[in-house]
Amino acid sequence: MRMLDWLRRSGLHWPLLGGASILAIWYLTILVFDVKEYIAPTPHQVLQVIVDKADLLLLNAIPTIQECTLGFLLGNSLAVLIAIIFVHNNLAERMYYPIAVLFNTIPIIAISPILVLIFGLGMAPKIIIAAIICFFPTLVNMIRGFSSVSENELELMRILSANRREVFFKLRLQCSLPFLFAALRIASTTSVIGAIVGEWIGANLGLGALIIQATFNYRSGLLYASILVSSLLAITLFTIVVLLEKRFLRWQD
Amino acid sequence: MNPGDTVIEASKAVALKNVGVTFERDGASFTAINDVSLDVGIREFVTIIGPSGCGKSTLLRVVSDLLPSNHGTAEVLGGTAEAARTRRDIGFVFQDATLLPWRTALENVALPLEVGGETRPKSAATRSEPQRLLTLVGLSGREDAMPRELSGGMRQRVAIARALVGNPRILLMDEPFGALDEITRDRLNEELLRIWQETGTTIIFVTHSLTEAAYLGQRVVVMAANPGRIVDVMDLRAVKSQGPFTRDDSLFTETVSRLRVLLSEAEDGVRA
Repeated sequence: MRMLDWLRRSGLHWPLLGGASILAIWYLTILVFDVKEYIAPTPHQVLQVIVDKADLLLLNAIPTIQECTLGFLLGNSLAVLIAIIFVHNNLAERMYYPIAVLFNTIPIIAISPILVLIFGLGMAPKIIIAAIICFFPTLVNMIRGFSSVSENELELMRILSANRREVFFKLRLQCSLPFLFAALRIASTTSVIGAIVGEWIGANLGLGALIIQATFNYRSGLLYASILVSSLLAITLFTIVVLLEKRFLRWQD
Repeated sequence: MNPGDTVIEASKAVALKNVGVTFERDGASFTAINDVSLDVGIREFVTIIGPSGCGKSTLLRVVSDLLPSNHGTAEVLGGTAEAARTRRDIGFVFQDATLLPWRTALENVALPLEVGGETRPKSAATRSEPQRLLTLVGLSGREDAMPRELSGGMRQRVAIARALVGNPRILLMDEPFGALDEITRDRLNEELLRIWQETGTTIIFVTHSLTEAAYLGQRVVVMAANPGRIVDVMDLRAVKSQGPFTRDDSLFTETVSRLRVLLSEAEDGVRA
């Protein structure tokens, strides 16, 4: 009873009920249409695989975790760095920003084979794909963030004879933080996509590799379990970003 | 004052002679102010009033070296506006308080001590100055408040304290109370007069409130638009020799009415 009261107060009971209804539809569909296990498993079959194959899942999760976090760090750092250059050098922005936009229109999955050709089947191409997928949203947001200072704020800095470095560290950087975290939220989930896509093109280990193997071997339980673990990974990264945001943007509200 | 400090003794805080500011925009030129001449004495309190587009903000931006003038000469404390700015002789208060939202009230007031490299005030006394100035503007006890926790009037008090860091000899105020309700505005006007007395700074104050202009100024400069220019200067020093106006004073209401006539004439272009 206490648990129920707590659920109602926290407002979690509606989303939980929603989730339960979808699980129920999932079960019913498999029962009513007599779906074979190798086509789609039931929820409890997926849970069973997670318990039985925990070792295998963990073994494959580790490289994916490394790829997406390294890609996340690399892609976002590079984006912030280039945004800083663009904000301080108009010519650089005019020359290279359109190219960044153009590059962004190439589907990531089309670039992946090129990277595998260049960097081989190791971790490097996966990290780079994860980095590329993070790069553009952060670049765009940081350029906007650094430029989001008001005319009055710049005039204030001029009255105080602040130099460019001071304007950047005392004003622009702080102004850009809300924009940075908005981009990092996106990047936290897309970096996982990048790592998995990279593994699809060629890898022996990793959640992406496991997804491909499970599909070709009609092991649908393992396939669904891998997907669930990938999703958990993205949720974890997202949560870390949100916690950091709460810590650094306490002044917002 | 340390020995070796150079004392710049100017007879006037600001001396503008035939100052004009013209912007080029899309090939067309636009005259913000034209042929403006105005002297402001040391420790004087001058208010500037006029319709929007009369260039009153432009005038403050010329004095504070935020905008260059294209015509005439603008002398500030006997030198260029740039020299006065880099000596930290100019404080500026904007209409929007322009507090940095991630800094506490005290940290906002301390900003001038953290930027500006060589121009930064350096004496040991400056370390305690932000605290002293927050007390001066009536905000002791709110040092750690974030800007979003302060009312509009309080935010503007913080902005005034920040502008007073380093004891600037000229304080420029660009409609600082324009967005506040009337009661808050009246209180801040009274406090500003007190702060002016206590700090001995020169104040040039832009407003479009007639009562504010009359209540605060020793002289009221009336401007007109298209192009921005000075049409009249009302000298109130004699009337105020016994002290500032009280608000229900008949002299005060009379002054406001006279100003209203001057201003409407300016807008009608009768005197142009």
